Formats: sequence, C-alpha cells, structure tokens
Amino acid sequence: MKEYVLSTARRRWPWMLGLVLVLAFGIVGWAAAGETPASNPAPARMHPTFVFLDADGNPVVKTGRPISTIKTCGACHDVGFITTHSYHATLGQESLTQVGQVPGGHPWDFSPGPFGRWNPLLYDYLSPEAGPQMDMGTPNWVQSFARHIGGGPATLSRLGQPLTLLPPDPTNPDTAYRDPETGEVKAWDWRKSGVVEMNCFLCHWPKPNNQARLEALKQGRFAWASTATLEGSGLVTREGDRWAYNPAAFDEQGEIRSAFLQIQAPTNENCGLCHGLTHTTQEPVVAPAGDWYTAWETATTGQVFAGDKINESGMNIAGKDALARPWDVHLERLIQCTDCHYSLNNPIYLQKEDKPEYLLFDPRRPDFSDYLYRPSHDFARGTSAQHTVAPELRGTMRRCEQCHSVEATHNWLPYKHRHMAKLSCETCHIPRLYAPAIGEVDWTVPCKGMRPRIALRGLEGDDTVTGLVTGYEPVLLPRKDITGRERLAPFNLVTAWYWVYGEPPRPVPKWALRQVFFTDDGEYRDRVVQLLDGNGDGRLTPDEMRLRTEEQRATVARWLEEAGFSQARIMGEVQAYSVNHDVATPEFALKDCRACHARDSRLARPFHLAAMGPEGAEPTLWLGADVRFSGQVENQEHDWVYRPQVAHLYVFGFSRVPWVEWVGLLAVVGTILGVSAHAGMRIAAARKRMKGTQDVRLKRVYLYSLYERIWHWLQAVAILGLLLTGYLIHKPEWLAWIPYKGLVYAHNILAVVLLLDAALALFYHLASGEIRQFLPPTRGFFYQAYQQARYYLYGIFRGEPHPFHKTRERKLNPLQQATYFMLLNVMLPIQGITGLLIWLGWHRPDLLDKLGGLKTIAPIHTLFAWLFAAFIVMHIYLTTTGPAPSTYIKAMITGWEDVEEPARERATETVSSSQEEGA
Amino acid sequence: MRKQGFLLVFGLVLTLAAISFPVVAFGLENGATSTAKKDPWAYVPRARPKTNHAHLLPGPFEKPQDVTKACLECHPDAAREIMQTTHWTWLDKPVKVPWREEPLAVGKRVSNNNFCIGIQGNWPKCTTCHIGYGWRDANFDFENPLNVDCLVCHADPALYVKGEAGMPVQDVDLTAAAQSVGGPVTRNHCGKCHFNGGGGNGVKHGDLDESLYFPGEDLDVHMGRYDLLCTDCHKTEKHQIKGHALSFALEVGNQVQCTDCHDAHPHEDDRLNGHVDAVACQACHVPATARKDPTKVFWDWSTAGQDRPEDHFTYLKIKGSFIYEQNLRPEYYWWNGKVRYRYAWGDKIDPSKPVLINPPDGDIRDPNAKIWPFKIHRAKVPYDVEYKILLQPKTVGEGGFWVEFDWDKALRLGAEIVGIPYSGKYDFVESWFFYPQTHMVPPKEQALQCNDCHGPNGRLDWKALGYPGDPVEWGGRDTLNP
Repeated sequence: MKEYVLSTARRRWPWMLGLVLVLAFGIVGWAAAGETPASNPAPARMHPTFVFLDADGNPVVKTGRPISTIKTCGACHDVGFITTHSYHATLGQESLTQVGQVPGGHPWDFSPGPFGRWNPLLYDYLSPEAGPQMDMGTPNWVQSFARHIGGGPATLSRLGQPLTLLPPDPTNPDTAYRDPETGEVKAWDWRKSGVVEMNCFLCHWPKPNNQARLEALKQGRFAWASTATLEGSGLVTREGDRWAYNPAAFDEQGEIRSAFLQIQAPTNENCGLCHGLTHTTQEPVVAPAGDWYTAWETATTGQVFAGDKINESGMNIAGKDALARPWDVHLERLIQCTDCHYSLNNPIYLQKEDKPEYLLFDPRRPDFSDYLYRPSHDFARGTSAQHTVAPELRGTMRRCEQCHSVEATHNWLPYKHRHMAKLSCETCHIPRLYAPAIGEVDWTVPCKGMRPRIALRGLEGDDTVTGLVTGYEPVLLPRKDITGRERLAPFNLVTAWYWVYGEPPRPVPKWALRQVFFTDDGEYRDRVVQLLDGNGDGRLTPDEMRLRTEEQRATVARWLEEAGFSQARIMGEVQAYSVNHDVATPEFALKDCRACHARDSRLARPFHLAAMGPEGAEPTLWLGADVRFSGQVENQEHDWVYRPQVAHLYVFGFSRVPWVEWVGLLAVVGTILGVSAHAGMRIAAARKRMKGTQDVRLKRVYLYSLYERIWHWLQAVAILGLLLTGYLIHKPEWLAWIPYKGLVYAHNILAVVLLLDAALALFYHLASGEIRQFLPPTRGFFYQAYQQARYYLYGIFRGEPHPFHKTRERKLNPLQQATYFMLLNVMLPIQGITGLLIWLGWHRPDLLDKLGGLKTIAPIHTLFAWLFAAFIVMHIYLTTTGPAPSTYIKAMITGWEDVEEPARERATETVSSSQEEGA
Repeated sequence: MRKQGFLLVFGLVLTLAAISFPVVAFGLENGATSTAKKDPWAYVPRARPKTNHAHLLPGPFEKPQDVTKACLECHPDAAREIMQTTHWTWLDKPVKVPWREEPLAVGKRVSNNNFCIGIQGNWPKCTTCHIGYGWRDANFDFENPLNVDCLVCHADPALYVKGEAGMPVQDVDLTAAAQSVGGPVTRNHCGKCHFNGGGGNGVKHGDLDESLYFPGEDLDVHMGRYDLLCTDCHKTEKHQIKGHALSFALEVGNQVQCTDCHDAHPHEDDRLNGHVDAVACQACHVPATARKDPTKVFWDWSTAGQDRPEDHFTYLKIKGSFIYEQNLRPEYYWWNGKVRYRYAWGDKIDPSKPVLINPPDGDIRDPNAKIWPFKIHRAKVPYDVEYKILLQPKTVGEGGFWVEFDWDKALRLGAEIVGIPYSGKYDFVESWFFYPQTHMVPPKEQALQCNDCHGPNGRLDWKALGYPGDPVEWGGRDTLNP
C-alpha cells in the first residue's frame, strides 16, 4: 500500500509542478483581473480557472448538457479518492446489513447511516426490497433525503454497480419508484434522469442555490442538480426545465473567466444549508418555527449557529434583555465549523493518533499539494449522541479539553477533577437552549399535506416572533466517550409516535396513511372526521387530531388492516439528540452549585416528553451507541415525562440513602428523648429530696490542664462546626443564602483543624502519660461499668453519691472510658478516613472509584455524622450530672472542679463540718 | 506561674497553627490569587457641600461685570486663573509642527472647522459661548478681568442665559443669578455650550448632546448609572480643566483617560486584555455614537441660499443641506493623541481630494497609537479656485451671507478679516473633520464582541489600518517586521 502511494507520488511530480504553476498564474491572473463580482473581495481566491465539463468530458458551454462534477473537478483532483472518503456521500451505503441487524436500530433498519436507517422525524422508509408495499425506492430516497450531497447511493447501486447500467425494473429497489402523485410503483430509468454526482458547489461555492437544487431533484432531473446549484451565480440561468450557460462567463475554450470564479473553502453558511441555522450577517437572528427539517440540528435541539448576541435576536425570547451573550461563543470568536470538523487529512489539523509515546509531534504529514489533490471528505466528528452515523469517524475531532486548558480555568471549583470526571463540559457550559426544538412528532393522525403533528419545546405560541420563545433546559444523560468514560451530557429528547404493521414490524408507509386518512383531493375522509371530532362541529381542531380513546385507536387499526397492513399498532420512541454547540460565554455557564447539589437537582429534573401521546402506546427509550437512559418514562394521562436517575453517582445535597437517614435520625431523636426523660425524672426526684438534708461535701481540685482545656474546646468547636456545615452540605435547602462552595471549604478546613488537634492531643497524651486516663481498667471493668450504669439509672434519682470520684489521676468513669475509647478509636478514625477519601476524590477521582466510590463512602460518613450528633447530645446532658448542673462545664473552662469527697474521708471530718454549719 | 505562661503561649501558637494551616492550604487550592483591581471610585472627587452665596452677594447688580467684581472680592485669583485657560483665550500656545516652518497656534479664535467654518468677522454669534462679556470684534480686551463671566459656570443654569457676544440676555436677573452660585458645576453648565456646538443639539461631536442631561444607564453608564458629572473626570484645579480637544491637539495633551479610574488591563479574559496595547477602550466600549439624538454627518454649503422648504435636519437656506444620523457606526483610525496635520488659514489644498482638516496622527508602527473610533463630519466648504486655499465667509451681520446670500461678497469680506487672498473665483470642496468618540459609554454588556471586528463581516478594514490581514489569523502589530 505504501509502495503504491510512493510510486504514484513519483509519477505525479511533473503534474504537480504543473499544478503549482497553474496556481501561481492563477494568483497573478486574479490580481490582474482586479475586482471580482464577489460580494466579499477580501480573501484572494487561489483556485485556478478551469473548464466545466459534461459527463462525456466535453465543455458544457458547447454541448449545453449538465455539468459533471466528477469530470470537471476530477480533471485536477482525485475524485476516486474523494468519493470513497466522504461519509456525506455514502451515508451508510458502505455498511448495509441484513434487515433488522443494525445495532441500536429499528427492526426494519438495514444500515447504520441515513441510507437504510429509518428516522421517525423524516418518516419515509427506504425499502430494502421492491414490492406492492414498498415505501421508497432509491430514486424516491434521492428526492426525499434532501440533505444528501450526491454521490454514494445516488450514483451506485446497493451492490456497487453504476446506477446507469441498471435496466429499469420495478422489482429492483434501486430502480423501483413509487410515484408520489399516483401512488403507483414504476420502473425508474437512471439513464434518463442521470445520477446525482457529489455536488461540489454546495459546499465550495458561496451562496449556492439550494432551492434550485431541491427543485431539480424533485422534478427527477438528477443530472442537473449540481448545475442548478449555480443558479444565481451568473454562470447559469434557468430556461424551462433545463439550465443555460451564460456565454459571457466562459472563454472560447469553455474555461470559466476568473471574474466569475468563486470556488472557496466551505464556510459556515455552506454547512448551515443542511445542518442548522447559521447566521453571519448583521441582521438579527430569527429561527423559523415549523417544518424546518433542513435546519436539522436547530430543529432537533434548538442549537443556533451564530456569533450574534442573543439579546439582539429578532425572536421574542423570554428574559432576552439579560442575555448579553452570543448564541455560540466559538462562532463569536471566529471559530468556523471546519475548524473542528476538519477534513481528516488536512495537514493543518491532522492528528496522528498512532505516534509512539516518545513523540509529541510527528511532522511527517501530507504537504499542501498532496492534500489539494486528495482531500479527504471525511470530517472529524465527536462522539455525541445516539446517532449511529459514521461510526468509524467517532472521536476524530478535538474535544473541548484538547483545545482548552481546563486546569487553568477551574481553580475556583471545589472538587474540580471529580466534576470533570463525571460531567461533560457541555453540562455546565450549555445550561440552556434559547431556540425552540422539536419535542414530539405524531404520525398516528397525519395533518393535512401529510405532515406530522409537531410539538415544539421552548415555544409558547405559533412562531418565534409573535410567540414567546422560552427555550429549554436540556436533560442530562450519561454518555460514553471514545475512551469508555461515562459522563453526564446535555440532550434533547424527541418522542415520535407512528403506526407499524406485520411481524417483523415495518412502519406503515406514508402513501398508505394518505389513503386511509385523506380523500384524493387531500381532505380528511368523512369517517376520520366522524371518528375524531370530539365537539361535533364537523371540523378537526388541532387538539382533535390525535387518538384519544381506545376505540379511536382500534378503528384506525382496522382501517389499516383493511388497506392490507395487518397487525397495525402504534409505536412510540424517544430519541436523544446531543447538544454540543451554543456554548455560553463563561459568565453564562452554570456556576450555581445548588443547581445540582440540591433536592431538586437538575441532574434529576423530570424532562417533559409528550403531552398528546396517543392511546394504547408507550414511548420506548431508544438506546443509542453512546448514550444510556438511566431513568424511566412515567405517564400521567397521556402526558409523558422522562425522570432521570443518577443512582450511579453520589451527589452531595441530592443523594440520600434512606436507611442511613432513618437510623441517624432515630439515634439523635432517641438520645434527645432519652435524656429528656432522664432529666425529668432527676428533677422530680430532686424535688422529693428537697426536704431531706444535702450533706455532700465538695472539694476544689485542679483537674484539667490548660492544654487539655484548649484541646477540648477546639475539638468541640470543630466537631460542632463540622456537624453544622456537614448538615447544610447534605441538605442545601437549609440556609440557602450561604454559598455552597463556602460550606464545602469551611467543612474541609474544620476537618483539618480537628485532625491536627487530635494528632497534637495524641502526642500530648502519649508524651505525658495521660493516655492512661482513657484506657479502661483491665480488671473489674465490667463490675465498675455496672456500678456506673446503676448510678445513672437508679442512684442518681436517690441522691446517691457518684460511685467513682474524680481525681487528678482518674478523671473518667468506666462508662466514659468505654465511650471515649469507642469514639476515639472507632468513630473518629472512620469519620476521618471516609472524609479523607471523599477529599481524595478532588484530586484522584479514579482512585476513589476503585475504593468503592462516593456511593459507598459518603453514606458511611453521613451515618457516623448522625452518631456524632447523638453523642454530643448525650455528652452535653451528662455534664449536668455533677453536684450542680454547671459544675462540669465550669471545670472544663477553669480547670478547677468541685469534686465530691469520697465518703471515707468525709466520716472523719463530719464533726468539723457540722460545726461550721452550726456557725 | 512561669510554666503556665509558657504553656499558654505554646498552646495558643499550636492552636493558631492548627487553624491557619488548613485555611492557607485550602486557600491555595482554591487559587485565591485574584489580583486587586483599581477602585474606580478612588479617583472620583468628593462632592463639596454647597456654599450659600445669597447673603454674600446682596446686590443689586446693574451690569454683569459688577457681579464679576463682587466675586473677585473674595476670589481674587479666579479671573487671573480663568484668563490662562483656553476657555478664555480660545487660542492655544504656538507649537512647532513638522508641516510648516513657523510655530502654529490654533484655537477657535483663529482656526477653521467645517461647520460654520470660522469665527473671525462672525464674533457676536459665535462668542455667545465665550466665557466672557462683550467679544464683539477683533478689539475685545482679553486682559480685563471684569470681562470674565463667572455666572455661566457657577450660577443656577435655570437663572442665567447668555446671548450675543456672551452678554446675558435681557431678562436675566443678575442678582438672583449671582445669589444662586456655590453649587457644583453640573452637566447643565458644561452642556449648554458643549452639547450644542456647531449650531444645535448634537451637531458636532456625536458623543455629546442634550440626551446627557438626563441619561439612562444604557446611554451612558457613567452619567446614567452613577450620575457622574463632567468634572468628575475632567478634574479641575485653579480653573484648569483636564482634557484636550482633538480638533486642536497639536501635541499630546493632558487627556482624560479611562485608566484614570480603571485598570489598564481590566478584563477577566486575557485575550481581551491583550487588545489594550493596540485598541483604545473606546473602540469596543463606544460601539455606536449619537445613540439617542442624531448628529450631523454631512453638510453641503454649496446648496445654501436657495428658496426651498426648510427643515432643521435636512435643509436651511442660510446653511445648505445636511444629513443627520442616529446610532452611527464610528470609523476607525490609529491615533496617538494629536493631529497629523491641522489646517490653518492660507494653507494650500488639493481640491481633487477631500481636505482632511484635523486627521488623527499615528499608524500601526507608532507604539503610542491605538485604534480609536471617530465620527467624521464631511462638509462641502468654499475654497479659492485660483489660490487653492479654503475660504471663510462672513456670515453674520452686514454683508454676511446669512443676510445677503451673496457668496462672492461674503467670501471677500471674510478673506479680508482673516487676512487671506481671494481671487474672486470660488467653488466648494469636500472636507473632513474628525471627532474621536469617547463619551456615551454604554454598560459593558453592549461592548463589541470578537466577531464585530474580526471575521468576514467585521467592521474594521485591516488592510487600511496597516495589517497584513485579520490579526486573528495574521497576528497583531507586534508581529510585524520592523
């Protein structure tokens, strides 16, 4: 293969020299020719003049026949290479399969691309075989799939022969033609119509006449399609059903005069002819509403390809004044469509993925002459959407992160890497679409003119100027990229309802629907009006043009049965259309943490699917190549919504594990109830005892060193702060005026304070030997614990003295020792480790995922936080069990405590004390 | 006790360390390295309380000069200060300029423009806006301090109106006007003359007109949103007002700059900050001019004198025909703060081309020049066909064009007064007068964005500015070869 390339290159060099010379002369010629009629005189047009040739290679000026782009452009460019390296031409013809064998396709699809894959928005079905029930043959497809640039299936049969060699045969799907007027299936003579060659002018000529091209196709004058595209350029004029060449534009040899030559690299307008609303003029942007399938991406997602500011749009957009941002920041900053979707062997952009690791840049690439001779017409594409088109080109495009330094610009974002690992850039940077998009398409009761009923999302009213364009917030679905990483990304969901018949199923053809619903002059049949006319006024209102009851559904199914389409039934499908353009300027990107970290997180916000779903059908979520539906469809009275599930993620402020919540709450509430009851009983008991004498003797003892007190209070503040900030992070609807980001930082800072405090304390206790205080005694512990428990449950109410007496050497009673032992050796470490792991996700989300992910770690952290809260309640209550309720707290502040004197010591001093009392 | 003290210090240090360590660590992680931006308000002068002059100036005053005399009793230096300013002299100091031998002094007093062309011989009308009393002819006494008009800037503008030769109009109550002084100098004071230059509202500048008396914040963010006064930016000391009109700027003067208040690199986006070395703030932040009231963009003196229907915005017999435009898109040139040339009476012209009266100086290779937005007033003005010099008609008064509609007579009289020759053969030539656009800054949301200048539909002509092509693709001026 390499050999071949080299040898052709060698053989080609004299020719290449010629090309270079021609180019050079072309430039000089252009300069000499002076002003061109082009409206934009700025860029010098490199392209040399040439002769427009017909299919036989003769100058069209002489023969008057249609221009053959293959012969004309093929005089210099390698059209063989171009036609076979252009997905825009083949559209899946190269990967035809058996019917129903397309992964992620319908049971009646036979190709992953538009040639053979049915789309419910377009509806027409390219039939795999000819027959009486055939919907479309190849000639019909050429007419109907208007966004095809020609070439591929418009020149070659499904078996790869030139279509012009096929005998007209109504049983061959490549030559069978269903006449849209009469409904008959006829044979198509490709020799007569000609084929549609790849239409170079559609992309390489400024302001091509797409309308004239579509008309030529519709009239079946396929060979003229390319020529018609030049109508209005000064080269050709329409004369009846053919096009005549303007003699002034060509010289005697038939070569185009340079003043008329406008060959150019494709601009955004060229792409926009088929792909969406592009806008580069100074006039305000207005998106059409209605049947705008040619503006495909705009129709399916509401993406508008314009650098103009939204607030300067001609549309009536809600809250427009505040939208001082361009529709798409890249277009505003002069990025062209082809800057990202470049030709794959364009030496400027060419990426060599297979270079060895020790190379950063591989300079060996085709030079410009090679590229101009053989430009690949396969264009870089991302990995977006369920679209199964051009699978071999997936991920060839540079993604956001390959142009933008994410690291440098997101330092403000806590848990930066974790966000990047779980969210696509589009999720925050395309927070909303501001043009309407198709939401629902219903073919079950076609409207007049055989169009579906379409419900637009993000539009209140009839059109974008008089109605109110509200736009919509896209739904977030997990999408796998080329590396297998799954991240949430924004989508529009389009629901389609349609009839299928037979087994395996096929969509009921349009011509059959027309027969069933309409009379020959295009009016609804009387039986249709009778069936659907709910208010009995003899007309069908838009609301009545749908199947509201089972009876209506069954009736239409019967009619279809009678027309020969057995087992007619309604199918509903939901397709996801990826949103990747209309990127906002940074100020308009989503920065509000609570947009996702909240109970009504936008990650899980229900997405409306269909308001007028027909009876007896349920929309199926259509699995695509990259996207996954993690949620489910819900129905409320024909009103369908998609409810996303993000169970695969743990989102702080949104995700909650119910049992953790319950256990935690029970622990805290139970503790509060318990200590309340205990306190009540103590008060009651104390009242009873009031009459008796209190003869507890107290002694002031210095119990807590300064350091111990600092340690204790710092720890107290840190833990209370952690509990508070943690609670607010967990339930962000509380005190929502506090910035969420601030809570996160405060929580992390407090955690480190606690950690350092604990580490220093450990050192202190070890170094000073005070650690002994916390070690439960090895002998007699259980009896002592029993004594202490008995005191709390019994003795305390009777005014008995504490069973153990605090001394400088022994400050903690056995229950305290046990509790603190648990707290310091189990709870604190668990809380610390889980907290550290969560924090690890900031920098190494991959490592965290290996350790079970946030989904496992975070609920543990939450559970123990609840337990800590319960402990605090108990701890504070028990401080009131001293001689006076405030004794213990005072002691922890001053260090001095009034300790009960042990009974033994008291006996010897009774006399003196009673004397004192007497005095 | 000593041990306790040590413990206390040690414990506190440890505690502080334990708290400050994570704060610093997380702070660094957070990238809290935002550099402090200049506070614009730091530059804005504090409003001084009004001094009530009612009891200080009991009056009554017969003549306006009496008021001045009274003012000078307490403000003895005021008149002397005023008389140093171009507000008084209407003439700048002579400057050595590259295009002529002897130094050139310019100013309204001696120079031309392409609106009413020149004041010489037409004084009484033109000097309505002079801050003095009685400039009727060439003999006005510029040295008499009593001729200084204090009231025009300091009296309540509702109580004081000037008329011909700068004298107050008949019904002005001088005592009341004098007693009203003491408040701030407001937009009304400045606007009376500066919003009406050229003979009417908004005629001259494009960015200064009566809409600025009560501007909305969309029209002017400084005066609309923050209610700034002219003198907040045009800071005044000893009656010297900061600022320098381009039309007479032979040198780079003490211009008011955006950077007086704002950072030199004020944007979040480095790409935008990268523009400020080559692009004036105004280029993006004054996206259009005359956004509320229209401004005059074309004036054809050659059609004056005809008896045809009159309309302020299209045709007046005394002045000729006009074009006014609203929401005007500026034109863009390099400018370093002074003029490349300034027409002076007697300079030769090339009638085959428009006469550029005050073209901005600077080009792509001038490091001090930036791309600025300009309003250009294009006008057909009379010139001498034989001597190839511009001519100034006498318009006002006896023999003036506005009285007798006789071009030959008006031009002859005008030439005599100005001191230039006149052959008797005249015609009209197109002339351009440049005004940089700097006021009427809208909120930042309305600033231009990338594709307004760059790309196929951009508003800048890169070739004309000296770039090899759009700098997005070809690089900025720092990449040019020397």
